[in-house]
Formats: sequence, structure tokens, C-alpha cells
Amino acid sequence: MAANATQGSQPSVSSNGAPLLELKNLKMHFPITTRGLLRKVIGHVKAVDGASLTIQEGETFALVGESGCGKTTLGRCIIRIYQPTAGVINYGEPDGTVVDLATIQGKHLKPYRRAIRMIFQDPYSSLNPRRKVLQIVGEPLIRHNIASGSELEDRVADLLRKVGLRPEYILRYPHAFSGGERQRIGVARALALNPRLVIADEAVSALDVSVQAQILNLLQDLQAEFNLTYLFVAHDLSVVEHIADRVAVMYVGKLVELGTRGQIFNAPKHPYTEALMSAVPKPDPRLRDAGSRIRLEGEVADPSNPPSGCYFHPRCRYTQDRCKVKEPALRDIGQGQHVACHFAEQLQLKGVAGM
Amino acid sequence: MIDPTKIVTGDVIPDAAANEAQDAKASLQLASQWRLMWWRFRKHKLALVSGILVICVYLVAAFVEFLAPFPTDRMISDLAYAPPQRLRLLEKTEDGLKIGLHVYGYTYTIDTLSLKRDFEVDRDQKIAVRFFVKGEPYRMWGFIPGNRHLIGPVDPGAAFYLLGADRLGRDLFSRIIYGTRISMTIGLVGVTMSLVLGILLGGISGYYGGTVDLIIQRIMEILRSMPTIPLWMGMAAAIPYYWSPVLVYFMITIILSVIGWTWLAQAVRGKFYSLKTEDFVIAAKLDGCSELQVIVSHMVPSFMSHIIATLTLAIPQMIIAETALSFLGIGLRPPVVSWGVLLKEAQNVRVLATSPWLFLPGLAVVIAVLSLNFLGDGIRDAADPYK
Amino acid sequence: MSTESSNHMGGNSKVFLEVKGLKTHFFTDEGVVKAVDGADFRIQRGGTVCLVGESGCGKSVTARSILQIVDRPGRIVEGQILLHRSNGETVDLVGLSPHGKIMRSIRGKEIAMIFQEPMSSLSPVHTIGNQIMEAILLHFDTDKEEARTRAIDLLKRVGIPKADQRLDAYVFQLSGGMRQRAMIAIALSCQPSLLIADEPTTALDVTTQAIILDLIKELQRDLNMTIMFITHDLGVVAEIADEVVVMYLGKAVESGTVDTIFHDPKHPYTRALHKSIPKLGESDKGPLDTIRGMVPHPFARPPGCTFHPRCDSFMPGVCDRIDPPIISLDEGADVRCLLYGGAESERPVSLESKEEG
Repeated sequence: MAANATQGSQPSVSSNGAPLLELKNLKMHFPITTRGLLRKVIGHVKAVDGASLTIQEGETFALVGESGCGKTTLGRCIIRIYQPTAGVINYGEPDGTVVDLATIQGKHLKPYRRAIRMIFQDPYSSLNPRRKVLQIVGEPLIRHNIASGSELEDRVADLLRKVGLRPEYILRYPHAFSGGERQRIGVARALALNPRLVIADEAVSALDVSVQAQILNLLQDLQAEFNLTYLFVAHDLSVVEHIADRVAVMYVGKLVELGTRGQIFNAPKHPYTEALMSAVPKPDPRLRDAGSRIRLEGEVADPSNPPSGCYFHPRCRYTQDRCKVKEPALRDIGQGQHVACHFAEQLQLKGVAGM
Repeated sequence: MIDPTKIVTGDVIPDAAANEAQDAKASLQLASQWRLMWWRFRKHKLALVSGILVICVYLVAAFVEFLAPFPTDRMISDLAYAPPQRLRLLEKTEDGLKIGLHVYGYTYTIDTLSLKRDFEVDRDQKIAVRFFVKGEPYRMWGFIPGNRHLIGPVDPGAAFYLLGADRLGRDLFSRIIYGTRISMTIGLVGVTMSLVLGILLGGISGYYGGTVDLIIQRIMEILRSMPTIPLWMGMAAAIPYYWSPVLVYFMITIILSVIGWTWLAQAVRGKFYSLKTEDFVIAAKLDGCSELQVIVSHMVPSFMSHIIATLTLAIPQMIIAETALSFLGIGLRPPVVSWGVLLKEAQNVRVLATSPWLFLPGLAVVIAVLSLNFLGDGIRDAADPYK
Repeated sequence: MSTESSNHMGGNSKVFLEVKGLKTHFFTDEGVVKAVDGADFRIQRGGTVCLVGESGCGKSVTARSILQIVDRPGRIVEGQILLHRSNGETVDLVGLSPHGKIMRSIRGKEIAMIFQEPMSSLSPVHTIGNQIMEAILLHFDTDKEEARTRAIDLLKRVGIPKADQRLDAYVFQLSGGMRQRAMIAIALSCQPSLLIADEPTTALDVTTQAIILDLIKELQRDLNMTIMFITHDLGVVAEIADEVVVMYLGKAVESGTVDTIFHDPKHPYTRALHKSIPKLGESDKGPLDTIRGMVPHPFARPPGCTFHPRCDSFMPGVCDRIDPPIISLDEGADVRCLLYGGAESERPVSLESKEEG
């Protein structure tokens, strides 16, 4: 079972102390082109616009934000589904060498895709409906020349057992399974190559509440058993608070706050983090009118045409002139908590306890 | 055996049948996409019947030599434009009713003004008809010798025109049967070529996108915006007159495919485009599949059923195209016999007035095309069993 | 809290809509899917009832049955939906023809509905203004000018800025939150007595959801509207509900006031649901209590109580044979569970002789 994370504690690090993953100023800009014969680039959607963070081995690092914040894109950049526009993705090998994944192309990425795997959001579109479970979960083993034939069957059956499915399911097709079971198959596929880092891209968001609980427990059990590191991309704050060791909050392509679970949820330093937590409905009717709710006016900023200065300033309750002009950098304000706000030290913001 | 698709929910299934129900459910879970498709297809009665009809038509095309009473060039010139004979089973004789398959022959008088022959049934000429009768020898598919025909006159020289005679006194029934082979297979050859071109170019276009897609798309659009009849006429006119009918046949199919492939390519391109961003395709890339492996193992099987449905709907288009070309005289020509060639002989008003049976090849076209269309619809509806 | 404790035995003048024994079945090629198989609940006038449940529980189909817009091959096969109008009249919506005049006059005017996805439930080829005015012109005897003024007022009411310009905007030109507001405006255009909201905030970001929920609550107060809110999110239920109906596999398994449902849930499913959700501010990072097993496949429903294979309080021999009837409890709550009664009085579903009590 993963260690209980209290405020400020750090999860276990690898033997040489280097982080498993380090992002430096990662950018992913998608060009907007005119349609027609000559495709001219008229702008960019800045899905990720300068993200820097580190992920330590063995921890669960959560990336939260609302739609359009770039968290899914960030996850996909790390696993190199996309080629980042700029920035560094430093992956720390077990022997200590560090490789910048952003500079590796094509088939040279294959060995790194053993160590970094992904669980997708939609259990219905992430499994090829025309293939049996054996082929789906066994594909990574085949493509990396690890197993074949009866050994493949054994390994796949073993993986299914680990995720709580019966081994005889290897001959079935995805349509025979419910959403939760399909997601388990997806987890089995992610684990097939004994990865070090698993990116869970909204892995429980499409599931029913009761099934969600089962999958979350499964993920935590697997983490303890195989010393996995998770990058957990999500928008549901209650789930994140339950499962994460450290949390990063994103807004329109930028990281606005980063810290441990305790820091983020009990002592947030960025107004957006505060507003986000305030907006989550509390499952207790007696708390209905207690405390004040912060309501953010306006719409989420447009990533292809963001506001000047701090992207959040048009919706922020505490905005000052400086915010409209100068973009705040993500800076360390102590004990590993990072905030991108000019007034982080002055603001007294409410965490979940105060709501 | 419980049909797994017929289990009613909420029913308390008695223990005895519970195991059966479990097995049925299990087979549903193990069913591959083809099995699911077949189960869905089975329920579409019209498509099922059409499918059987299509198989029958292709069987006719396979066994023309046996099924047709006469070869295509067998003629009795005196009996040009003779009307169809009624096949009779019972015969009234002085000894009472006799059972024997037969038709009655013709007598005719020539109208001095119009030089037209007026035919009448001559009950004195009884022409005995039999099944599996010995007739003119043939070589099935060019190499299996035989001389039995499914149905025909006992006397091989007698007049036997179930569907009437054409202007040279040739049996229309035999010629329609022979035409089946040409008309139905020309569709297949043309469609196969369209398939190859369509998947190749449509696939490249959809998978790589960008400039390649742009160029291929524009080519497809230019081809499709060309008026087909003049294009085909031009290409058909360019075929040297001294080429053998077989060669002409293949050239015609190539000409038909020139436009036909664009339709399939469009469908394939669209499918590739939408599949590129599907999670399971991305997962396959992350699993270590090369681009080719992704295309072949993951993308193509996903739309195979749609391809089959599209193909089945493309065949009747080819048939109609060939019929139209031959009808206009710029497609296949005599002595090759296709339904289009036969219909060319029905081009004038005289035929409409006096020998309407010469339109029957059109009926054959309608039957073939309709049943292929219904079959294709049924396959297309069944093609996505994961809806 | 604003709930009124409902006396379900009497006080019918306070009840606006009554659903009794509703069964809506889908007759598909693969078999009969009993999407709703016994829904019973009451909606108080002016209150908010939340229909909660996971996927496959039949909450959406229930809402559509009320408005008689169930898609083919679905059909209401049994039950009553009683609409108690303020003039004393009672109409059974089940008995009305779905395309008939009366039903059409009720739709939009007395009962309106908003959906989860505005992009697919609003017309992409008509302006927002057109769609609002269409409803007004359909149900009221006014002219276009008057309808246009009312439409602008409505847009302002739901908080769309520059309302007179936005009136001529198309759905795709608006952002997610604005689209949902537009949908609410359309639904409210004829001032319905009942608003049915089918997961209207599920597809929205949490900050937008908060604003929309606030808006709905505000409009309810101003217009004295009754709301039936369908959701799977217990947090949302806690925010806005007066009464709650919990559904599982087509049946209403528990209903009661929101306080009862959250602090004294009766049905094992409701209890298990509470325990399996991570709650913000209460997390201890230990494993979540999960509900054993999965929702059964529609073609393999368990006999007796459909929840029994997953229930911690399962009573062998009883729960797997008897379909629990509705038991009315003291505080106005109803529950379908043999723990509270029903085992003695019900004839078992199988064809054996009556059980001794």
C-alpha cells in the first residue's frame, strides 16, 4: 500500500537520487493553418506553453486542470505521441544516465516506450474491437520480441490475473466486457512490459462511480506491488486528493501551482487553485450554505489567443495592474511548493478544510 | 439451443436451461466480428433472399454452357423475331391427356406490304422438349467437354424459343444466359481493380495526410468531375478495332475502373482519417508497431467490413456502366454477348411495337442490380456490429 | 434547509408529479431490455428532486418517459405518470398519445427538458433566438416582436452578456457554458411548471458547473419552478436536491429527503455508493470501499432483488427469490429492500408455493 502522504513529505526516490522524469520549459504549439491549396500558418494553439516539473520514482504525480488546460497534451508529449515544439524531457534511466526524449525520433523511441506506458481514458475506443484480449494485451510483448506462442499466453493470463480478471478471458473480444473490465484490460496492457512510469490519462473519468473505486484501488495495489510511478492526469479533484502524492495545477497550457497533496489542498497559493476547489460540490447537504463559494466569471481563456500578462488575470478576484502586464513565473515559495502568482505570499487563500 | 440474441431480460431462467443460456452467452462473448456480422445479417430477410438470388445468378454465370439450350450463334433465319413459345406439360390427344414436355412450332405468312412475318402457333408441329437433353457439344469453361443441356428440344434442329428469337433467329433465352457470364464478371474484374487502386491511394491519402493527401484528393476530384459518357466514349474509341473481343473486354474493365476507384478511395481515406486518432491505433504505435503493422493489423481490419459492403454496392454500378456502354455501341461488341449488347438490338421503335421480348435482357439487369444492391445494403447494415 | 417533509399518505395538493410503477421496455432484435422496471416517486411542487444512479439504471429513460419521448424500440408498457395541475386537474401522461395534441401542449409549456450535450440537442442551423421564439410562438398567442423581446429578456436572465446581439448567434459560436445557458433559456421560454434536467452539467468543467448550478437554483427561486435533476454525481445532489430517488437497474430502490439519503441511507446500494466515493477534504488515502462485482448485463439480471449478488446484507434464500416491494418508512422515505420488510407478504417470483413468513 502506498505510504500515507502527509504534508511536506517526499515519497521514495531512486537510489541515485535523480528524478525519474524532469520537464524543462516544455512547449507544444499546434499550428493553425488556413484551409486551401497553400496552407499558411496563421497562429498557434499553445496547448502546453512552458511546463517544468519533476517526477520522482515511486510517487503518484497528479496533473489537474479543466478542459483545454493542456494536461492531456502534456502526458502525450512525455510519451512522445507528439513531437514537442520546444523544451526538454529528461528521463532518468535506472543506471543513472539521463536521456532527453524530446530529441529522439522514430524507431529509437521504442526502448523508452517499454519504460513509459499509457492507460487511456475511453475504455470503448482504446481496445481494438476486432482483436482478442490475448492479442491486445500480448501485442507489446510480441512487438518487443519478448514472448510468443504458449509463453505469451501464460504471460497474458498472468497479467489478467493481476488486474483481477479471469485468465480464460484471453480468448474473448472486448465487446464481451463492461467498461470497468475493459479498463482493467487497458491496465494489463500498460503493465505488460514492466514499465517504470505509467501515464494514466483520465483513466477513471469515463467510469461509473462504483467502478471508479475498484480501478483506483487496483492502481494503488499495483503501484505498491511493482514500484510503479504514476502520472495521473485528471480533472476530478476528489479523486486526485485521494490518490496523489504531489499535484500540479494547469491553466491554459501553463503550470500555475505545484506542490504536495497537503500543500495544494489545504494551503493553496494560487487563486485558480482556490477557485477550483471551491467549485467542487461537497457530498454533504449540511455543508450546502456553509462557507462562501467562489464563482469564476467569464470563460476559460483561449489557448490560441491568451490574455496578456498572467493568463488568469481576467477572472481572478485578486487581480492588480501588475498582473495584466507581467506574466508570473513558476517560482519556489518554500518546502517544494511552486506558484505562478505575483502575490502568492500576500494572499490568504482557503483550502478544502475552510470550505 | 438457445439463440443468444433472443434471451429476454428479467426472465428467471429455470436452472435446467441456465447452463444452456450460459453457453449461449459465452458464444456471444467469443464471437469474432465476422460471426457477429453474420448474426446481424441473418435477420435482414430481404438481404438474405437477395444474397441467395445473387448466388444463383453467379451460378448461372458459371454454368452457362450447360444451362443454355443453344450456343449464341445458333440460328434459324426463317424464324427471325419469332415470339416466345409456351412450354406445355399436358397434351390433349385422341387417347386423352398425355404428360410430356413440349412446345408448338410456328407457321408464318409474309405480309406483302411491310415484308413482316406474322407468326402463328402451329399445333401440328409438336416439338418434344426434355431435361438434360443431348444437344450441341460444348467445352465448359473452355476445357471440360460435354453435350448435355439442362433443357432443350429432343431434336436439336427444332425451333425452341422460350423467350423468343432475335432478328437473326437466334434464341434469346440462350443469349441472355450467356450474357450473364460476361455482364456479371465484368463487374468483378472492374471492382477488383478499383479496390486495389482505391485502397492504395485512399490509404496513402488518409494515413499520411498533408501534401500527398492534397494532390491525390485533387486528382480524384478532377476525375470525378469529368462527364463519364464522353470520357468512356473517347477511351473506347481509342481501342484498336482489330483487338480480340477478350482484349476489348479487359480494356473496357480498365476504362470503367478509371472513374470507379475514386469512390472507394474516398471511403477508404475517410476511414483512415478517423482511425488515425482512435485510441487503439495510438496504443498500437505505443506498443511498438511499425507504421505498416499499424495499418495492416489494426486499421485495415477495422474497415474491412465497410469495404466489402462498398464493393458489393460497386458491382451493380459496373454492370450498369457496361450495359450502358454496350447499349450505346461503344462498349462490348458482337460476337461478344452481354446484356448490354443484347439491349442494343432493342434500340428501335419497331421492337417496342412488335417484338417486346427483346427487352428481357433489361429485366435480367434489373434483377441482378437490385439483388446486389439489397445484398450490399444488408452487408453494410450488418457491418458495424459494435454500434 | 428548505425541504418540506413530505407526508406521502396525504398532502396531494403539494405533489406536482407522481410516477407510479413505471415500466419502459426496449424491444430490440437481441431481446427485451427492461430499462425502467418499476419506478415510483413523487415530486413536490416547487422542490428539486434528484434522480441518481449509475449507467444503465434507467434514470434518463424515466425522464424521457415522462415527456413521452422515448426512442424506438422503447415503449412504456405499464404504470402511471400523474400530473397534478394547479387547477386541480390530474392527467395521466402514460395514457396520452405521444404525438397527440395534449402531449404536445404539455411539452415545452408545462414540462420542459434540458440535456447533457447542447451541441447535439440544439439545432445547429437555427439561431438561438429562433429556437427560443419558436417555443414561445408555438404555445402563446403573441406576435414576433413580442416574442423577440421576451427572448432577449430570457437571455439576460440566464446571464448571457450582450443578449440582443447573441440572439442571432448560432449554437456553435458559443462556448460550452454559454450553450448550456442558451439551452436553459429555451427550456424556460414558456415558463414551465416542471424542468427536467438530464445531466446538464456532466460535460462541463467544474467551475462552469458551479455557475450553471447556481443559475438553476436562482431561476427556480424566481420562477417557483419544480425541478427534476438527473445526475450520477452525488456532490451535485448534495448541492441542490430537496428529495432524492436512487435508481438501480431500472428500479427506484430508495427515495427520501436529501439529508436522509446522505446521513441515514437505508438501502445497501445507497450506503455502498457513499462509501465508494472519494470525498474532497476527507481523504485518508486508504483503499476505497468498493461495491463487489459489477452491474449485471441487461440480459442476465439476477432473480429476486437485482442487487443481491453485490449486497453485503444479502440474505440467502430470501433476497435471491423475492423481488422486494416498496416499503414506506416513517420519515417519508421509501425503500425497496427486504431488510425492511416485504419478505413475508410477497409471493416469490418462481413458481413455488407461498413462503411462510
